[in-house]
Amino acid sequence: MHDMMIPFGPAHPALPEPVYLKLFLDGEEVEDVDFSVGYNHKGIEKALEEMDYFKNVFLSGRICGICSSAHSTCYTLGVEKLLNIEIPDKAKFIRIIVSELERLQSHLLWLGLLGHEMGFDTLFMLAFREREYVLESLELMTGKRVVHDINTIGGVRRDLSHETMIKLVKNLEILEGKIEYFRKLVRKDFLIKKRTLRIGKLDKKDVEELCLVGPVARASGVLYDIRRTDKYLKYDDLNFKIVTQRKGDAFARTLVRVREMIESMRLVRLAIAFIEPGPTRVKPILFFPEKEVISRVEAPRGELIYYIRSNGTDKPARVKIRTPTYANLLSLKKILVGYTLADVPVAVASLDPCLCCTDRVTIVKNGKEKIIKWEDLHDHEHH
Amino acid sequence: MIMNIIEVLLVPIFLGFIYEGILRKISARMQNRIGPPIWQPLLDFVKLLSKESFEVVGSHHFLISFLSILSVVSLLVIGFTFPFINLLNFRWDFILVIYLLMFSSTCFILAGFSFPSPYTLIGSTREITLLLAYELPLIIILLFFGMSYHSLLSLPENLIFSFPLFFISFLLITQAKLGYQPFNIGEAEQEIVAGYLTECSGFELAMFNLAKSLRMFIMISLASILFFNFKNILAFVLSSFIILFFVILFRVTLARFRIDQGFKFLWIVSIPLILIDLIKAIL
Repeated sequence: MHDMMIPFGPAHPALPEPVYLKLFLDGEEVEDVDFSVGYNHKGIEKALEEMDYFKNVFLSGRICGICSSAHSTCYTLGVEKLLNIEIPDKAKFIRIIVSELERLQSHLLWLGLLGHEMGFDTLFMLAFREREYVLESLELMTGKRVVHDINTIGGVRRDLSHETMIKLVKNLEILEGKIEYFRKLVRKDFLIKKRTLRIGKLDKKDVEELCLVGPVARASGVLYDIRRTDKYLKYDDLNFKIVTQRKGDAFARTLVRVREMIESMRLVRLAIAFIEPGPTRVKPILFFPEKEVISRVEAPRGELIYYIRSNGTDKPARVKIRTPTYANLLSLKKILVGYTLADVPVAVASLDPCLCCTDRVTIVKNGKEKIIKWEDLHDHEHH
Repeated sequence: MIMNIIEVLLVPIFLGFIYEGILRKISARMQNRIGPPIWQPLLDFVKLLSKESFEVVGSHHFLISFLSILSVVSLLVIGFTFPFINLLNFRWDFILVIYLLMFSSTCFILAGFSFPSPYTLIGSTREITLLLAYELPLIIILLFFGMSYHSLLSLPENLIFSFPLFFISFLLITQAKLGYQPFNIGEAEQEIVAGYLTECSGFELAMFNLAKSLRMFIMISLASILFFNFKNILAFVLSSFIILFFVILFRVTLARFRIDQGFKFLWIVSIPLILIDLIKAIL
C-alpha cells in the first residue's frame, strides 16, 4: 500500500504542458508512477486526411510550436519520396540551416526549463535571453519567429539572400560565446551537478529495450542519430560529430544537449559555406501514385517518423506521426521510480517532453478512461 | 507612549515590505528583467486583504486564521527587543528571540499540517526537517554572546572581524529561515506547488506573506545588530543593506537543494564553521 498519491499535472507549475502523472509516494520516495496524456488532443492526423498534399505542409508545420520545421521537413520528404522528385541542393542546405537553428532554440528553451525545474530561475531568464538571437535569425530567414517552417513540396518557399547570411553568421558569433558560457556553467555549477548527477539513470540496455531516441539515447552511449543513419538532405556532405555520453543520467543528457548546440552552430556555418546560387524549388508533377512511404528526420527531441499512404487522389489516405516524445515517455517509470519527489521535475525535464505533438485521444465515460482504436474512430465518423 | 507603540508596530511592517520590494527589484535586474516597483509587496498585501478567503473542506478555518495572526505577532514582538527600541529588554532576552523565531516558523508548519492536501503535508514535513538543521547553529550563535543585547553591545569591537565564520554561517541560516534559494525546499513550486501555503487564500495568505516579509526584516536586523556592532542608525541601515544584498545574491545565483542535500549541507557546513570560531575564541 502506498503512503499517498500526489497528482503531478495536468496543470502544474513545473510543466507548462498538460500531462498527468500519478506519483505514488512513500514519504518522499517515488514508489510507482502512472501517467496519462490526452488533455490536448487536436485531431491532426484526421485533419491531414481532409486536406490536399500542399495544404498539409502548413498544417504539419503547426503541429508543434518548437519543432515546427522538423515536422514539415519530415512531411515534405515523405511526399517527395512519394512523387519521386529530387529537390535542388540549395533548398536542401536551407532546410538544414532552419532545422539546425530550430535545434538550437529548442535546446536553449530546454536548458532554461531545466534551470527552472531546479529552482534556478536566473538560468531560465538567461537562456531565454540568448534564445532571442536564434529567433531573430529565424525571423530574418523565414519571416516568422515561432512557426518557422519554410518548406514546400519540391523545395523551400524563400530564398536565402547574401545579407541575411551575413547577419546569420554575425548572430552565431555572438551566440558562440554565450553557449560556451552555458557549457562551463553546466559543467562547473555545484548545485546543477548535485541535482542532476545520478538522477534518472538509463543504461544502454534500457535504451535498447525501450527503443528510446534522440539525446536521451545518445546520453546513454547509444549512437543513434537519423542525420547519420539516414543521410537525408545533405547531412552526409557536412562534417559533424554525434555527441554521446556514457553515464545516462540527467547530467549526461544536459551535457549532450549543450554540446549539440555547439555542433548545430557549426552545421549552420558549414551549410552557409556550401550554398551556391541556384533555384530553391522544383515544380513537382502532381501525379500521386498509389503507394505508401515512410520518412524520418532527427527532430530536436529525436527520431520523428511520418508514414504517408496515398490512394491516388490529391489527399493522403492516411498520415501517421510517431513523435520522439511518444517513444521517450516509455522510460518514465524507469527514471522516476526509486528517486525522490524533488527529482521528479528534473528527471521529467531531462527527457525534454513535448506533449502537444504526443497527445492521443482518451475518452472518459462515467469516470472510466477508454483509449479507442483507429477503426472505432472511423466508425464514429460515419455514424 | 501610544505614538511609540504605533511606531514600533508599523515601522517593522513597512520596512519588511520595502526589503521585499528591494529584493524583488534587484533580483529582477540581476535576471535581466525590469521587475515590479519597490512598493509592490504592500499593494499585494492590501489587495489580498480584499479577497475572499476560502474555507477548505476538512480544515479548521479559524485555527489557520489564528495561526497566521500569531505568526505575525510573534515576529513583531521580536522587534520590541531590539536595542534602539528598548521595550522588552531583560537579562536573557535572546532566549525570547530564539523562542519567538521558532514559534513563527512553527505557525507556518502547523497551518500546512491542518490542510488535508498532500502538497501542504509534504511542504510542512520538509520545513520541519530543515528547522532541525538550522535551529541548532542559530541557538549556538545567539547564546554564545551572553544571552542578551546588553552583553552583546558591551563588546568593544565589531564581531564580523573577530568571528567571520559565525557571520557566514548566519547568512546560511538566514537563507534557510527565509526560505530562499538554495533552501526554498518547503515551498518548491516545481514539486509541491506552493508547499505549506498551497491552500491559503485571502486574509490568511496576506498574513502569512506579511509574516514572511517581517521575518526577512527581523533576520537581517538581527544579523546587523549581532555582527556590525552599530553605534548609530546610519551604520545599522548600511549593514542591513549589505546583508540584504547577500540574501539576494544567494537567491539569484543558486539552484535549490533536495531536502536530504539541504539538511546535510547545513549540518556539515554551518556547524563546523561555528566550531572553528568557537575553538579559536576559547584558545
